[in-house]
Amino acid sequence: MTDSGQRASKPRTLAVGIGSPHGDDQIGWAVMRELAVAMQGDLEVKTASQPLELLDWLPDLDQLIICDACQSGGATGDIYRWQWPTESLATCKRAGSHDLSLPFVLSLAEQLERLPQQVIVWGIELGDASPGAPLSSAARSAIPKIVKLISDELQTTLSKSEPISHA
Amino acid sequence: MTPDQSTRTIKIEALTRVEGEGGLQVRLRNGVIEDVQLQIYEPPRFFEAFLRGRSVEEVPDITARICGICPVAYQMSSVHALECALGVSVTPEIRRLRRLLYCGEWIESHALHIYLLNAPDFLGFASGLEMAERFPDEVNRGLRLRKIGNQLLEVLGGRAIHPINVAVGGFYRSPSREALQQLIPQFEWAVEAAVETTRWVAGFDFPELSCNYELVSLTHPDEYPMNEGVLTGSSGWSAPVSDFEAEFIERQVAHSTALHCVRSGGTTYLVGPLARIALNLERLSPTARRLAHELPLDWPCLNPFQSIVARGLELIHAFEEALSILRSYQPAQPARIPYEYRPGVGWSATEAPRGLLYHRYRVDEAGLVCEAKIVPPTSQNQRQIELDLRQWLPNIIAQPDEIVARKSENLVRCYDPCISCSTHFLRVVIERGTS
Repeated sequence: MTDSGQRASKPRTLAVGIGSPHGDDQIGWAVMRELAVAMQGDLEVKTASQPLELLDWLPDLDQLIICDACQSGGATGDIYRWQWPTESLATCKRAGSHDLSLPFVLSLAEQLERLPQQVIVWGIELGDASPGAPLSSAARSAIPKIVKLISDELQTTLSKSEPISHA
Repeated sequence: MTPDQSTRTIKIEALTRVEGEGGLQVRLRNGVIEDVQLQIYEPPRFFEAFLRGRSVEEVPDITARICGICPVAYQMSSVHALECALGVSVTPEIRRLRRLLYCGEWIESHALHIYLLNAPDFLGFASGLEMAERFPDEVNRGLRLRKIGNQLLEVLGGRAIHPINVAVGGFYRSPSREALQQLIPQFEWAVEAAVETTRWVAGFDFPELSCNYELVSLTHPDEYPMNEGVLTGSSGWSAPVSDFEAEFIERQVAHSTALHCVRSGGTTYLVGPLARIALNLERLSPTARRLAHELPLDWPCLNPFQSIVARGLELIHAFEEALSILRSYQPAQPARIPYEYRPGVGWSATEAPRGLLYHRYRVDEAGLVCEAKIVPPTSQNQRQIELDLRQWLPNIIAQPDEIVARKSENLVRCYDPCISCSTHFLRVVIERGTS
């Protein structure tokens, strides 16, 4: 088999961090930076400011990994994992552009038959997300944990749908 | 009847499909509309204060983060205002590249609003998701149009959201001719798709409403306004942008953390696509202009529900103007005009997708911002939206509360309000005496 043949047979996975530059809302971007380093270039990684951007990147994907800050009443830095579709995600609010939230975008992609077979959403409970605020130490401490969880899972393709930690 | 029984209050706690968080409250007494309040309760954003003490080079990047929907507008108003303060004149090539960037933002914003935010209201769907089930081809067309705008922003701005390539004096780098020319086939398709879009939305069943607007936009003798022009009102006045703060005043209202901007005499006005087309109809691109005259609408159009048609025409314009620039593009040399720091004040107004966006900066001899003032389009439209609702409500008020609420929300969405960037703090002076 040629190199290109090997590449063609490998499932195409994209990891996307959603966020903004404000406080703990940047956690999705920070995770992607570290994940790219951990995967040593073996994973396609992008960052987005709005869930809607995902729609432009979905064609030909086999697996989509999303990492986003979320707010669900847990302790800052708590890590959650969901496999789409899930009702749980609706309780995790992100101030999305024009109310086009992540669940809306994933549902729309599903409706338009654009969604890859496997979609995993990782959430990190955020604290302060006010403009200009830095990433909190509690959120920052979650980064190595979630990077290890994602990279381990990429090796074994788990399919859990429950939060793995919650205060 | 007791006072309580005579009062009816209709509340929308959280408006959906608008940017940011806002609510709406309508209060009636004895069946008569007593008060309409567009309530903005998103925590105020601190950007004007945040900019103080920052270097002029940081400003485009910081202001781009005020809004995820119209970062280019914030960048454009800020760099033009700072260049005004610093005495910088950009080359015609840089200016064209900036218009191209602005076209990308209009495309992205208008396509999103037309297809996913506003069209569902006219077709009787609760959301774009429901609409996608019945109209998948149209939604796919809208998403493709939006994506083309995003691709343009990526090539020009370095990335689609919060572009990083915009600099005071020009751009950090000029994109290659090849990178931009690759986009031409898609833009050729998109001009036609935007025409189909506009014909499609023009056929919607629009509620009858005609508002007595003072329409305000930039005007320019040679071009459809985006990043340059004079302030113009439909009642026949015009003024240089440097007079913005004499022509308009901001005032605080109790129910909103955003300031209401009104004419200096206290009267309201409307900015945005309806105003731009009314004052610049003959400067639309050829295809957009032909269609504007062909459609069964009278210009100026004073029905806010028909803003979606105006957005469609501007979508055509943006694709057609972008196509013209792409075809003749040569990289700007230099990409950025050098400048030296000097103390001064500069101002600028550009046309964000939602309407006029004014910035003013005072900078010092070290190139640091001493003062920043930003007046976004939604704060200019907010009071007018409330007045339009007052005019619209008697048509629907006899219906059950949930229908009144839904139809009111439909009207608010027609202005595509961007609530997150319409909020900013009042400057508060505290006098601390010493005994």
